[in-house]
Order: sequence, then C-alpha cells, then structure tokens
Amino acid sequence: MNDPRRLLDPRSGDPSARSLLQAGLDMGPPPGAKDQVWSALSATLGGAVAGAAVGATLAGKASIAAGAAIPSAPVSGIGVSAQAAAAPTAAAPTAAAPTAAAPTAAAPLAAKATVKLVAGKWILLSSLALVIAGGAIFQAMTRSAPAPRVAEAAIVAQPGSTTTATAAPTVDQVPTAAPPLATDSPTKSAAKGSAQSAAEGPSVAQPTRGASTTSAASDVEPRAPARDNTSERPSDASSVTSDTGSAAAADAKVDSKSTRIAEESAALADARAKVQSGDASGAVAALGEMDRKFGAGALSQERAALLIRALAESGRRDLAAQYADAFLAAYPSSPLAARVRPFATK
Amino acid sequence: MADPTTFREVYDAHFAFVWKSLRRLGVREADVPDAAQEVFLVVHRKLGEFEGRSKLTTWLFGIALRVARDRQKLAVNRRQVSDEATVLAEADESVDIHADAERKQGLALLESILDTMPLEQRAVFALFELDGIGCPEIAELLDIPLGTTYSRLRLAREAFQRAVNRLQARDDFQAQASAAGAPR
Repeated sequence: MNDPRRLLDPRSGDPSARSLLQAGLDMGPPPGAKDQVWSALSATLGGAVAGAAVGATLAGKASIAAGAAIPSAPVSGIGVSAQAAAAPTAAAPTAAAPTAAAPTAAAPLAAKATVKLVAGKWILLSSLALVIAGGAIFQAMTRSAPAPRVAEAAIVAQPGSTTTATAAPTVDQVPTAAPPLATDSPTKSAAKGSAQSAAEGPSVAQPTRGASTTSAASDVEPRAPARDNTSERPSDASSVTSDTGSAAAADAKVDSKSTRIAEESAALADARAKVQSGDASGAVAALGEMDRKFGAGALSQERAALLIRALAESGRRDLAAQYADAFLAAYPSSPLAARVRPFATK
Repeated sequence: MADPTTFREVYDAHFAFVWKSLRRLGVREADVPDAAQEVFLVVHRKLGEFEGRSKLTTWLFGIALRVARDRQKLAVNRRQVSDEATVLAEADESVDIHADAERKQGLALLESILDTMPLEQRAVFALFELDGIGCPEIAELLDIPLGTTYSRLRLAREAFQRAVNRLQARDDFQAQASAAGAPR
C-alpha cells in the first residue's frame, strides 16, 4: 500500500483543507521556551539550582496549577504581600483572601522580589501557586503537617504579633480557627513525619477537615474540597500579619527562606534518588523526615507526589492510592496530577 | 539514573521535537512547558532503561503520547462546555485582521477539528499531514502495524474532510447572507 497524497500537497485539490493545515505547520517552541523548561526541570529534579530556579519551576507550574483560577487571584494578592506594610490597599480584604493561602515563605520572597524586580512577579506567583496547592496536600494527608506550618506562622507573627489578632478579622473569610491553631505550635514535636503518619491508615485526611468552615481559597481552587481551606488557614493569619507587619522583618527572613528552599530542594532530590535507585522504603522515611523538617514547605506538593510513588513502590499500594485520590480530589489541575494519577484508584 | 550529560544531550537535541509532538497531540500552547517538563522527567528517570531497541524519537514520542493522553483526560472535563461548534463560532467571531491573530484563529480552527479525533488517529494524521512523515516511519514511531497506520490515517482524513466541508458550508452561508445584506 502506498501513502496517499498529502492534503498539503498543492495537487491534492482541496484548498480549504490545505489552508487549514497550513496553520498547523508552525508548532515549534517559541524562543526561550527551551531554557525556561530546563530551569524548571533542574529545580524539580533537585539540581544545584535553587531560589530563582525554584521560582522558575513554579512559574511554569503556576500557569497550569489551577487552570484559569490561579492567575488572576494571586496576582492581585501579590501586590499586597510584596508591598508589605507600605501599601495596605483598600483591596486588601478581598485580595488577601486568595493570597492568604500563601505560607509565610511567600512574604519574604515577596520582599525580595520587589527589590530585585527581575522576574519577581513570576517567582512570587509561582511560589504562591505551589504553596497554595502544595501546602495543603500534606495537611490534608497527615496529622503532623499542621504543626510545622503553624510554627512558621508563629515565627513570622512575632514582628507584628499584636497585629495578628486585629489583622486576621479584617479578612472576613479568615476563620476563627487560625489563632487557636497558632497556639498549638508546641505540638510540632508531635509530628512524626509523613511516613509514620502514612502508615497509620485511612483516616489521615480526616483530622484537618473538621475545622473547615469557610471558603477563603475558593477563588483559587474552586474544585478543591473543603480540607484545602483548612490547611490554608494558618497561613492566612501569617500572610496578613506579614502584610501589616514590618517589611524589614520580612526582608531579614528572605535569605533564610531561600536557604530553606534550597535545602528542601536538595532533600527532595535525595529522596527522589532513593526512589530511582529502588530504595522506596528509604525514600518514604526520608520524605517523612522532610515533612518534619519543612512542614508545608514550598515543595510540599512535589513531596506528596514523590511520597505517593515511593509508597506504591515500597509495596503500600493501597495507601498510595488513597493518597493519590486525596491529591487528585484536591488538585485536579495540578501539574503533578498526571504523575499521581497512575496510582489513584479511579 | 540517567547520566546528567546524556540527559542534557537528549534534552538539547530533542526538546523541539518533544515540544512539537506535544502540540501535535493536542496539548495547548500554554500547557506545553509543563507537559514538556513531564516528558523530560520521565526521560530523566528512564533514560538508563532505554536500550536503543527503538529509535530515541520513537521512545520520546511514546512518552509524549502518554503525557498528552493524561492531559487530554483532564482537559475533557474543562472542554466539555466548548464543543466543536462553540469553538468554531468563537474563532469566527474574532474580527481581528492582524496576521498573528489570523494565524492563531487558523490554528484554533485546526485544533478544534483535531480535537474531535481520537488521539491515536490524531497522532497519525498530524505526523503524516503536518510533519510529512511516511506511513512506514509513523508505524515505527508509534510502534503499531503499518495496516493500522493506514486505517487510522484514513479515518482521520475522513473526519478532517467532514469538518472542512462543514466549515465550507458555513462560509458559503455567511457569504450569501452577507451578499443579501443581512449581517449576521
């Protein structure tokens, strides 16, 4: 059998088909795409690139993370946290609600981005996106997650701790659960890491769900289940606090935050290497350790995806499936969803 | 685990191929950076297992196909509201006469038609019609029998032609309406 004549062939006789197909000839990558994807890849793979590179990864993900939902909301929110105390704009109450989902890491990053200007917006946007999506999943999945996050909130709350109580209520959607959670920070020591929590069984997603009463983040991830809101709540307080608190204080924490992300990135690379070398159980343990150390860190969504894979490969396929289901329910449009989906039950 | 040098080489040599393949397979332009990242994450993970039994491009295309398929499943939910008719209507409502807008409009039209094809047919159709690859090579690339390649191409071309005919009929109608002084 011979190939038929191509429709693009001028002799094919159908000019309409030809002109339609011609539109599809140019589908190559635009300039810069190659480098952009490479930076994202390097960061995701836990390479030497940290900080800005992580931002690049996140930037890539931000456009995908929640479909059309992410871009508009966080952008307005960025203004609030980036400007810190300088511009508590009238938009704050509404803008802060989506932004509030950003953990404390976002505020220092925001300050830095403002200073550097270069791609700062993307770094922020991306940080927010991943953090919004990523932070929640571990809390949804494990009991231990809230404590580290809350601890972070407490730290950032210090510069403007008196404003925490007053600031939070201005965001009308911030639930009252936030302050009580903040006082729970000593329970951080109770965190046993995701590995241990993971092993505890089916109820992992339950603990944080009960507190959810509002939809502070509903604009960001409309399809996310209620537990998202719960997990984002502690950071609501911290975000608002940093907005109204000292910009200098946020600035001072930039470096330590960047270092923290770099550490987290490196630790994630180690865990990934374990999985790739067949040491899935070791990876689960390492991820549990990471959970204890970094809590709802900037890469927690990556961590969750890797944990799901590691669990599956270490033989705990049921648990992996359960986690995967929870992940996909919470973040159906996450860029990591495709990686998680093969482990899901449905 | 992949040798980083080799991985980088594969990336450098085949990034454009992967990008284009993803586009051909229906991944939207805005989503391609992330999809490409997914593809290369798999490449990074499995490059060590690639034993050269098939061509590297075949392997890469296979990965791109799986990633595109996963994304298509996701996109189905999102696009349910925008069936073909809607997409066509939207594309037509743009009266922008700039070349870039026209190109995008043409691309949107084409993609709306390709979107109606099963991914397997679409892959064969795009590789044959747009990339100018012969059916034997497509069969190799997709790792399917040559006969299957031909039948998928035939089905895809039939679907494409039907869509073109529909568009043509609509254009004719609009031309008549316009000539009769009855703006849409």
